[in-house]
Amino acid sequence: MLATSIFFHLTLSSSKISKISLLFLVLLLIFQWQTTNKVSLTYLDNDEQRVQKMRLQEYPPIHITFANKNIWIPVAHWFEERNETIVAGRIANNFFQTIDINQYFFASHPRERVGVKEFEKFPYFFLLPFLYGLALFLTKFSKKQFLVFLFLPLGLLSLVGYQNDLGPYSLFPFFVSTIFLGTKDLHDKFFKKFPLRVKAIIIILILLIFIQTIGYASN
Amino acid sequence: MRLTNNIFLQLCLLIIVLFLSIFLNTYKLESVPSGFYVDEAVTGYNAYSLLQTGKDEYGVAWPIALRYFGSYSPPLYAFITSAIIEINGYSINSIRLLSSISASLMVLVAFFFLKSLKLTGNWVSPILGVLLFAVCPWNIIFARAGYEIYLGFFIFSLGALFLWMGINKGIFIPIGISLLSLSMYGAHTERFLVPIFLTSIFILFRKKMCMPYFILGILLALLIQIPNMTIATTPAFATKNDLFYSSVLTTQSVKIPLLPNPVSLLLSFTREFSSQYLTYFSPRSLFSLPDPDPQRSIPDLSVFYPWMVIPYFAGLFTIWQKRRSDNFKFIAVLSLTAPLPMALTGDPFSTQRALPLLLPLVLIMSAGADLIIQKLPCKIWITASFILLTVSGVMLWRSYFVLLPNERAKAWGYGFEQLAEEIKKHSNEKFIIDQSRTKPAYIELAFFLKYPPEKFHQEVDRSIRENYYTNARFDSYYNFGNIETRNIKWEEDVYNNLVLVGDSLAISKNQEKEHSLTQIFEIKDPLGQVVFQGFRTNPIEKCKASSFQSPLCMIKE
Repeated sequence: MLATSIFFHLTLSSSKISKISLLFLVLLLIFQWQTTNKVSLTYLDNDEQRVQKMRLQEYPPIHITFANKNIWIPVAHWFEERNETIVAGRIANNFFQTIDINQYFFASHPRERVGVKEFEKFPYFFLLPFLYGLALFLTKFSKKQFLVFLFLPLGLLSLVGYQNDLGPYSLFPFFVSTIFLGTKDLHDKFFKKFPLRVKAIIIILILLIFIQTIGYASN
Repeated sequence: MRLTNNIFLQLCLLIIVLFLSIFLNTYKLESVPSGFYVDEAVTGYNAYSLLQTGKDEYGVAWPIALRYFGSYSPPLYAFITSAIIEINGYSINSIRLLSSISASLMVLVAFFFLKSLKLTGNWVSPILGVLLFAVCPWNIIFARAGYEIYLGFFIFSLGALFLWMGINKGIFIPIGISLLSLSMYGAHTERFLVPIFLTSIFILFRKKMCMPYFILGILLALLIQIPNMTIATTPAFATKNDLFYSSVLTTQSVKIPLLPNPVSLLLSFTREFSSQYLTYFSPRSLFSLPDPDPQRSIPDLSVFYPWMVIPYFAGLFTIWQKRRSDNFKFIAVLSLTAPLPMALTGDPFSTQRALPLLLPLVLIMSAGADLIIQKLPCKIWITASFILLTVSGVMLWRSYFVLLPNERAKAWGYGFEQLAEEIKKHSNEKFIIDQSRTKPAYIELAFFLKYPPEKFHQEVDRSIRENYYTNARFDSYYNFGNIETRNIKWEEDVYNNLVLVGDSLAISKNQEKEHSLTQIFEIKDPLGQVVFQGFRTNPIEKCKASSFQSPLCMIKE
């Protein structure tokens, strides 16, 4: 994870993707795949089966009259029973859970997930540098790097789901680099120019939030 | 293939979108959502009472804030609805109509916003923007709900539009600020949002604003606020203060024992506020997860369609790139201030209170859609738009018009209309409506029975009328006509000739047998689950079965 992050960061400004960072990313993706408790995209648990059964009864009968014959359209089956519909819903759900920023900075609070061990991946004082870094990433750096290091893990996580005690760690290099970019730029542009007193207040605040994050994690 | 700028074509397309919006906002308005939510019933009955007597349900003439269940809601919706009842008749349709009208007019507000903000380069983009607005689930949920939320949002948005126009042409500023002030009589959210929004706009655009017009606007706004000011110091004006998560902060601060309590409380607040605030922009909340409240959400559909995440991200990128221009600054203020009051409440992603966020998010998506349109060949984006909008239409039909009327019937208060029919059928019997699990039943029954307001005023607790704005405590006990709403008192009620009404858990089979009850009706929701069941008591049988042990049996004898 660390190696991927370092190599990814070192090659950020290059328009070509470094083979070493790509190799580490692939390794990370394999680990993510291996360590995730994969749930079939078409599997329905007992409650989902109950809802499916109930919903099949809710649709009105729909038909088209053609040459005096009624052609019935099985919309209920299409929407509720077909594997394609179930798979699409699952992938979308996995995708949106993965891109939920609250998951990374607030342990999914206030919309915690059922059956998932939630924890803060980063202290929330990194949120501002992350958002700022993301904007910098998109405007100043290679889009190719961005696409590969964000979308490959995103694609994988959308398919394998989120049942992993370590969380979506294949996105770690992307997050770390983005936070670093944001922090560095904020430091150079603003923090450096602040008077010593303000700097001290900001550092104390960061330390306090760090203590808070540890306190929340241990409870 | 090239689409040239054509004002006539744009106007035609706008009219088509407007008609589509009217259709979506009014189709089966009476029956979808099935049921009649308690907030709609209280609005409807108060509007009816105001129309008939000039007084609300408690007998107070044209109140500044309607007491309802102790929530003291802004009154504008009920006032206008009383006129709609006069024109359109007394029906569910009439109560919901003002929201539908506001939502249909919002299409025009969104269009003029997109035009005047000059967010888009392509002439089709504003049309696509209003189309996104008209079909998005967040818009449709509240466009078809018969209470004040949408009206407040509409007036607020109209005020914001005039304020934006006023930055370039001063004469519009007083109109904009006056409308913003008026929106504070529209819904609760705007009471908190307007001061924050107006202050932010003033700070950011003060150099560009024509000060005499701005001062005139503020004076007009204050004039409009005079009625509100008369109750500003009463509990009626601060009923939403209890939504603040103070107990959560206390619980969370305990998790940081290393730090002194004031510091840990402050840190807990920072984290709670930041997480709540961020949720309102999280793609998971906007495109995947519905509102946790079943009455404020649609099955299997969030507030926007999942594919809208693409224009959302593209729009955020555009906003960031053009962040120094005035129009994008205005959108940023509109979107960043809208969730501020909501981030102070404990509800995770309240779609109802956060409705003012809908407009800036659609504006952001429109800017994103414009960016995509400009990058793609015409044939591709037209085909993609057609496919995505068709898929959205199908998703909306499935979730809103098929699943919602069945699965959310109970959450929308289904069954009260049928219960009122049963009460009418047994008009010579006394009904006890169990209140232990249901929302306030009295107002639903008063609405569906069309109970004469003059009689109702005589039968409600008169002390409320005397301390209208200070007595915020709500008691669900009501006794009017042949109805009493309270919890069933098993030790007394079974020894009197009554009809006991409750939900499926209120009266069990064992209780039915033990207390010699006879079932006289059962009301089921569209899924076939029992919503209400009514049982007639049999005091003589009960006394016989219990060997006349109760002193109430002696009285009967």
